Amino acid sequence: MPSSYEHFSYSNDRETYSAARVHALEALLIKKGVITGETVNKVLDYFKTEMGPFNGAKIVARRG
Amino acid sequence: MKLQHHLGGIENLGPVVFEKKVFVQPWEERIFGIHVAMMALSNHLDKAWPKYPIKEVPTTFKEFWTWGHLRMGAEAMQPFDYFRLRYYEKWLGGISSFFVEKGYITAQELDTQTAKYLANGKSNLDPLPKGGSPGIDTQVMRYLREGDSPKGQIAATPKFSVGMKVKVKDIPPVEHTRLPGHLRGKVGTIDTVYPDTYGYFFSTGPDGIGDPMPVYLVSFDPKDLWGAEKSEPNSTYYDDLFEAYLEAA
Repeated sequence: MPSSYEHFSYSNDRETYSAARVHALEALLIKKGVITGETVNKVLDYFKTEMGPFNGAKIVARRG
Repeated sequence: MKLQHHLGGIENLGPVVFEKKVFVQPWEERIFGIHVAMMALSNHLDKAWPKYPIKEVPTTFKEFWTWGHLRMGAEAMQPFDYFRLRYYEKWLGGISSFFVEKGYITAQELDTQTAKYLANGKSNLDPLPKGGSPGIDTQVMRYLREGDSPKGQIAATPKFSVGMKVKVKDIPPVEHTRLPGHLRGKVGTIDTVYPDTYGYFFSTGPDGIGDPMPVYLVSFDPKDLWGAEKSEPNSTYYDDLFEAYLEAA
């Protein structure tokens, strides 16, 4: 039975708004000295290069 | 009751979405990074394990911020908003409001800055400001590598042992709980008594967790949770539960 709410949809600018909002928040936090201009990039780089499934992959490769 | 605690067993949500992307929109990475930085700069870390020299870190952030605070915000939401918003949308709303409430930014400057970027258009956000004290990032990176252990320094003296029947308490929800609604009042069996004690980030008051205590793996018969018709035959439901949430059955 299809839901009567199947035509519900979110506004098209939902993601655009959130992208602008988070960019504004990050810019203000840098300006106020909470974090630096590099903090978020460094956190994301850590998860991309130091901690993640590729570490496991490296260990498996070495053991093989 | 808070609807957010009672998601297990809700019907008509359609098939489970096995989305494998951690971030479904690029902007979500940024709020994740901000939250991680807040945890790494939280004012309680001089009493954490390991002890961090947090008072000497040159950040203006002087608040207590953990996963527990993020979850508490989600539990405080109007339930329809909770369902309407995606995971990281809740983070963005909760974290923005926190900084406004604590006086780090004003709602007006956040709105003004957001409107300015929106007027620029999606692909034309101004670059982020540069600079800041490198000591902030040193602390954030150290926290990422060394963490903050919830393991208690006291030996466990567990009330329950393997095979015992236990009943999950039905404590009235306060600001925050780690007890799923669908387990309240249900009877399960102690499967494993974990060897150590574990604490939570802060006391949840009458809810009962905070100080380190024994933790158990408890097994439940799915039929007791969802009824025979909705349960997969020959399956077992497991949950890790703090001792404070259990009583002898």
